Amino acid sequence: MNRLNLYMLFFLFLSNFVKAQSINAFAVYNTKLAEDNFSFKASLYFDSNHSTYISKQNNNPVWKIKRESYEGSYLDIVSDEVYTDTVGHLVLKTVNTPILTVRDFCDKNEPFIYDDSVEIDWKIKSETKMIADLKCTRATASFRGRRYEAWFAPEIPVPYGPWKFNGLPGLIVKLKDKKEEVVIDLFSIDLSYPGKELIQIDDTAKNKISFRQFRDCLDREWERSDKEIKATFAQLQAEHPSLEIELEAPKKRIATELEFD
Amino acid sequence: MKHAFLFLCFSIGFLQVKAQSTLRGKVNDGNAPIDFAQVYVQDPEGKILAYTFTDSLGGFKLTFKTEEASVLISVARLGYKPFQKIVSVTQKEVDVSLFLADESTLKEIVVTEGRPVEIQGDTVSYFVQPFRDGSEDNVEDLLAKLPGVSVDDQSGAIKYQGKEIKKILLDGDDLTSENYKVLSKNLSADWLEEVEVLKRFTDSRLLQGIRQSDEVAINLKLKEEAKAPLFGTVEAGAGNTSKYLVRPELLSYLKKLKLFAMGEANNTGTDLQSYDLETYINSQLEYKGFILTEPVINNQLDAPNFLKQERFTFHEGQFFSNSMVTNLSPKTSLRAITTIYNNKLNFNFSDSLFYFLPSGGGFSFIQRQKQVQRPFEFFQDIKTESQLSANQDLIIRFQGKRVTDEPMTTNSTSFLTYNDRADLQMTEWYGGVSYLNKLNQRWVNTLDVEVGNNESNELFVLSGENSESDSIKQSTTQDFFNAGIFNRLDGIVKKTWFVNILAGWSINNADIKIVENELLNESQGTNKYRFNHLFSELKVEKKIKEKTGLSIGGRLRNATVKFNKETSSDIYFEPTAGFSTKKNLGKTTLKLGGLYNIKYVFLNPNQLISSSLLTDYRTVISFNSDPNTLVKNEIGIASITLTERNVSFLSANAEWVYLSSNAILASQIMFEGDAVINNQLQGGTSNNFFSTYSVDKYFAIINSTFKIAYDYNRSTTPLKIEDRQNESKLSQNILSFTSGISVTKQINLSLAFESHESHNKWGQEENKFNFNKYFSKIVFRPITSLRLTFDYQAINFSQLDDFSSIFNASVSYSVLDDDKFSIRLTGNNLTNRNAIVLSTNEPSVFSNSSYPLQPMFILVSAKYKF
Repeated sequence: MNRLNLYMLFFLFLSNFVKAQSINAFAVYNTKLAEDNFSFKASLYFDSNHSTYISKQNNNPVWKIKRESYEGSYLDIVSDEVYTDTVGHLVLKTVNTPILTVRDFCDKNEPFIYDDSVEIDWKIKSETKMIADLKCTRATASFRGRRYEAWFAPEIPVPYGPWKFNGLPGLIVKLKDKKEEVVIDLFSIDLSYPGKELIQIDDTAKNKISFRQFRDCLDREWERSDKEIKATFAQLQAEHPSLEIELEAPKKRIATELEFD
Repeated sequence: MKHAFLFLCFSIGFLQVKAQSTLRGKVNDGNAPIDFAQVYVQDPEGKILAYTFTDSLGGFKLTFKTEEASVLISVARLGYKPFQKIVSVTQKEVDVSLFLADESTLKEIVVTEGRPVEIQGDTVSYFVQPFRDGSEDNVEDLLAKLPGVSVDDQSGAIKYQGKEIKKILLDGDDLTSENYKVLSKNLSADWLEEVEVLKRFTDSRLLQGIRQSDEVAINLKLKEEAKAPLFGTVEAGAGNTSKYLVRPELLSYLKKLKLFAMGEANNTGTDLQSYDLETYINSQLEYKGFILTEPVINNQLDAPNFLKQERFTFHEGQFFSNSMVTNLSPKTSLRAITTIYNNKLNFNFSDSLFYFLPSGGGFSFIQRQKQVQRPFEFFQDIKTESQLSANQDLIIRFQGKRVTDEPMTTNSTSFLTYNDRADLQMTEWYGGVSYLNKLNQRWVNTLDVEVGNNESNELFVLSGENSESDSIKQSTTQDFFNAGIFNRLDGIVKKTWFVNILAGWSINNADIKIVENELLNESQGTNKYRFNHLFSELKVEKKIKEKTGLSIGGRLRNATVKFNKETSSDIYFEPTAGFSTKKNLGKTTLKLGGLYNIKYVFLNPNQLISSSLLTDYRTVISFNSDPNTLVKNEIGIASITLTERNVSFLSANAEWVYLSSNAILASQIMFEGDAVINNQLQGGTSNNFFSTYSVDKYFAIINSTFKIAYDYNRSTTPLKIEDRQNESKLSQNILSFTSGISVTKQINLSLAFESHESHNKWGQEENKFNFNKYFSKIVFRPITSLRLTFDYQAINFSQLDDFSSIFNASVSYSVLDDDKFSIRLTGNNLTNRNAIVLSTNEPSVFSNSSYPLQPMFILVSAKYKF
């Protein structure tokens, strides 16, 4: 047996050793994180080994969303400005590792990539309920300063979920925090979604920073925009003294994650 | 049963001691290890005690505490059949083999727990996915399935809770103006993610919150992943009997440009004329006093309002539409709409007509008509909108339209045969400038200047079967010029009083010339018509606690009409009063509303001409009205709407409309060739009552929508035939039920039923008939890429003892992911039924008409999404 045949035998052995069937699934969530004023449609592509969560994709680097509603003559304006691009905000997970790879923005045209170690200590409860055709089980956990309740479907045997939420024996179908500032609902799921190459992120990308650095960047950006909004508001009020304008501005950056270890 | 057995076994070894157990094992596929498989153990109550996922060698280890003697272990992985087994807690190891699952066991689920309908303020948002079954070709098909929204089968008019919408926006942009059917009938449903109904819609940024609009618009939100600088679909197909279809659709979402362009050429029967250009003109201009030409010739045959036109009409045509909005600068936008429609239509049907006669009984005869129409229409609309400052907007708009048609008909009655042909041409243009000025936070002034012209030429030639010498020619030209200036002030006083003051002046100058009229052997000069219209309007609405509104107002009009040498001038007052109130009862909102209004409508100039005019091959019409004649319409409306903001959305509305219409005068003569002369005179007060009731409910738990509607209409009109005067009474009851049911994940079922009852009475003479319409459609998706659709429609008329049915089927297969490339096989009228006989009731006449159906054909088409 020559060397080539030995190699071939080795690869044949290896390829049989770990067998992963290539069936992808595709779920759509209505996702509202604490920092969002709107619910966004987000996609979760997954197979047994990996999941890729994609949200807020848009052609514009600053995606402006505004909803104006009237109750009689009173105009209620709710708006969001999301920094993003056509790739969007991503969270990538590989099964059996706590490290998530996150692609997020703290400023326009500036996507950052950071690793985040997430191990949520879920408490599985005995309550179950049907959500559409899925039998779901309740679980609760505290994660970075918020108390969450999740409903997961053991019959979809993957530990994934939307955004950074994961680690249950079944796909997370519904999740909300106690204050209902974070509300996520599964909208649809296709378990026979044709195989699609999941997005990979180059680990050596030059815009890779630490999670701490990313949070600092978010804080700086928030302080800058807060000053800008307050200045614009003051100017508007000065120009139109008769106008009744109420600015509901928070005192600190609204975030889904409030505490860190 | 399997689970019950497992748990029965389970409960046998029941231990009271809570002990820690460890269970290890390996998962394989019978040969190789399976990594990342989910493994968990449950107690008899179903509580998950411990869980993990297998490592790269398929191994797992679970540690748990339980009082039980045995636990249920579950092992699963995507793509494999799940495994469950009861194991003793003393058992330390278990090896599991998983087997590949069939593709059919993999699921596609739409979770409806997330609300499919959300209400915020005056916006109702529908997330469309739960309402789709995949068979929707266009936006209209999808809208018809939404609870609270209805689409008229024939006209394509879209209503929300009984009120017709004004516009359809595409992601917030108004591309098509009032011609919303260009979007609803042509934009693919595939792109849609969300549909928003915008109540109290105002399209001016300056009038938001100040003008108390009661208009409704729909905003279509496309899927984010679909939006691109250039995307769309192209579809092409061919079939037997030389059928063909070509349909490209192009969308562009750029920073400075949004565009929707589509074209269609086919001879399959699918409706091509998908726009209604009259809507803008009727709603905007006529109220201001503009007068538009009305055709004299009324010989174009239409398909009946019983089934979709495409079932009857044989045509071969092309339609092109381009709608775009572009930002010329940050503060100036330009919108351009272009449509071109060209068609060749063939009608061929026979009527059995029964006319009431004054002597009692009636007169009946049979007529057959064969007609070819060649309509051509070109329409262009250009609008620029500029923000002159934060408080000032300038809108400039121009519309032009050219319409031609050459209908040719062979008409055969029981007595003789006539051929007629017409040459119809119409050209019109309108231009307008609007200047909006927000005077302060509470007042906005709108100044409009509008000017327009429409001109029509009609030539009608009627001849005997073989004789050119019998021919009769009639030629008319109409040339109408309109101009007006209008000023409107909208404002809010003390936060709760909404005021609008409108003043305007318009002038119309119309020339109607009867060039040739051989029938009467008269030489006619030009009829000159002048209409001078001055009006002012005041409307005040008081809001009480944002829940209740009371409005009162009126319009004072001074109209001077001059027709040839006669002049009349008068002052009219049109009062209006209304109320609305809203009450929230938990998750249910109840709204009550009422309106009373009087409106005067002036006769169209060609209704003042005393000469006899042919309107079709067997009708001569003449009027004997003076210019002062006008129609007084008295309208009373009461309505109730109910909306339930639940996961299972409910929308219900009831409306009662009473319309009293005074002084309608028309004199008709049946053509002498029928051997009977039948003079009719309609006049006096016509009373009409329309009532409509509808309840739409979406059940989230079964992902199904049910709609029930009931309409009752009654009209009473004085009708004189020859010298006998009586009241013509027409009444109609329509009950309909529509449902879209998700039977399983693979099967969707649509069922509809409509019951009509029509009653026509004049004196002692009466006609009564009823008919039922049935519709069923099954959409079956055995696998994601394959869709089978079967639809069956039937009509059953009580008098005809006939059960006419049409059966269609289609198979659609997605060759590429996300329906990027799909192939469809469509079978039309598979039972190859020749014709449908339909009955209709109109004042003084009852008819049974036989309409030929599109014969059976098979069409293979391919669609590519890019």
